[in-house]
Amino acid sequence: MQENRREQEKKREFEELFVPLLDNLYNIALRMTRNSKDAEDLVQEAYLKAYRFFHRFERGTNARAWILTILTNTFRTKYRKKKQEPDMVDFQAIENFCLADEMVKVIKASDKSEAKGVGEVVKLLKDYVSDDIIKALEAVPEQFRLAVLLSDVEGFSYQEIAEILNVSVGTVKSRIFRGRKILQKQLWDFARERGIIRDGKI
Amino acid sequence: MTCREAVRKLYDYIDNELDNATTEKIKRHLELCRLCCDQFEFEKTLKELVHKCCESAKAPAVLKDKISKCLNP
Repeated sequence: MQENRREQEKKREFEELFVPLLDNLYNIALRMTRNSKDAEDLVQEAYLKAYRFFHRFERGTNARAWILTILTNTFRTKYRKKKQEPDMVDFQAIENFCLADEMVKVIKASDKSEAKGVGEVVKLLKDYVSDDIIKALEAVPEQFRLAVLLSDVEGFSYQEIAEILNVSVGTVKSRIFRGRKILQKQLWDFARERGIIRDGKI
Repeated sequence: MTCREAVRKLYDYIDNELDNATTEKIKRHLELCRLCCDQFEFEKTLKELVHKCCESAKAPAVLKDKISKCLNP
């Protein structure tokens, strides 16, 4: 009887802490697995593992970081390589890539007035629709994508991301840097493929 | 602060990783330098766009049920 009450209490505490985080986990899972079926499975598995290891959760620490650590570990061991990941990227080619600079070049080539030229790039960036951003993001190799998502979507600090991914802060910084550069290169390629930018002009 | 120094700290700045003194130095530089200001604005906007695109999905009700059932068999 007492055993039963303790189990009920544990369940209630778990649900209070982690059920409100369901949408957060689902969004990250969706961007990592790139499809809703796998995302659902991944989230479900993360919750079950979290419940099983709930006694290890230190009360008062960050619940979102804790369950995301479980989710990313589960993803790494189970879901990666299931679907063809994007080809390894030529880092030397993208290391110095800057989407803003490329856009400034085409704006200038398109004969727009110098005065508003540079500021225009933010407007151009906002012209990308959600689907473009998501598609570009999903083309970023997973370890870089995950670091960018944890920073941009979940708003974790570099130190927190380092703990979640079990790597150094330096590694986190380098993954975020590369992830963002690859993302920008993808967005640039989309703009050219669609003919938004043609012959170096808008 | 030079443009080079500012740009080197661009991501630390938009990710809120800098101490107050350095943040202030960058802010002052951005007030004076249009080119850097635009570049910082651009990167900040992209960060916000990624955030917006990736927080909008709602976990399906069936997933909520499944998890709830697993916890309450």
